[in-house]
Amino acid sequence: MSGEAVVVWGTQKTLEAAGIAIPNGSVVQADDATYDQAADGANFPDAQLVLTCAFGTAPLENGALSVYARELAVDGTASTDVPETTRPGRFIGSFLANNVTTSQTLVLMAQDVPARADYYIHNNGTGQSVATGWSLKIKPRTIKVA
Amino acid sequence: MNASEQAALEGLIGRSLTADEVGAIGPLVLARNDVEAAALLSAGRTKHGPTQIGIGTVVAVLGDPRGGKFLDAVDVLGETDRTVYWGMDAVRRGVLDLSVPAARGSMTTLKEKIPEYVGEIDLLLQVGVVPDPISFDRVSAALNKAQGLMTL
Repeated sequence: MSGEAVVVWGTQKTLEAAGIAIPNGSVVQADDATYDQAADGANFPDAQLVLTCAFGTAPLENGALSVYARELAVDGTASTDVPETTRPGRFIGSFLANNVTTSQTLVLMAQDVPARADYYIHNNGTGQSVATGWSLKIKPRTIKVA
Repeated sequence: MNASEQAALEGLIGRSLTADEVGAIGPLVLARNDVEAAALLSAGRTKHGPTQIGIGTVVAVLGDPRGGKFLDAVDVLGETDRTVYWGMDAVRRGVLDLSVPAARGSMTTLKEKIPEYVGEIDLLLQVGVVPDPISFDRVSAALNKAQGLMTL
């Protein structure tokens, strides 16, 4: 067979290896690295985000851990502003937490990710604090003709 | 729990925390278990939900014959007290809304005017009382602000 669509994955990059605690309602940057679609993602348009985290007390089932991007160098060297209370930035998607205290690995597919961006996690309704040590990784993905 | 965090929670509930409450909530704030902290802060909190009462409600709450006797006493008082007279008008039409502070104030004032019915009035003042819990999101917002965390 040839000519059919096939999925191609790039190399996974770690945006945060061991993040600080994220209390409910707060926002923390995955500040180990930015993600550059060209330099890190071979210009692949989409990406898979993987959050590995744990809670000291079980969170609410399906409580959201939302991902926001701060787009960088969108006008020359000028970047968009850091997310803030009334202007969160570009919404990427949400992980839905499991109500357990054991480590959980959550996956989110993001389409048309920003060309270059910092990523933030918003603990948006789990009711509990994400424990210190969480990680966020991103893996570029595209579809090509076989 | 530091002073800023305690002040934030006290601002949320509109009163000072007792020493026992501080002892119970402190570890929850440290762990940021906002769900349990909200549950503790919500204990015993009530408010008046929108509740219009009339003669039927009075009789149902106070029973027979206390309900009828109470209404008769208020009716007699209304012959010489215009405020009570018009208050009874709202009761007759079934539209005395106990969620309105002024309406509750008028009911409370009745305790002085007909002290023999204080118990009945207290019972009626409990009509429409519903739990008034504090959501954990409000606790989170207050604590995040006190802790200087970035929020959305």
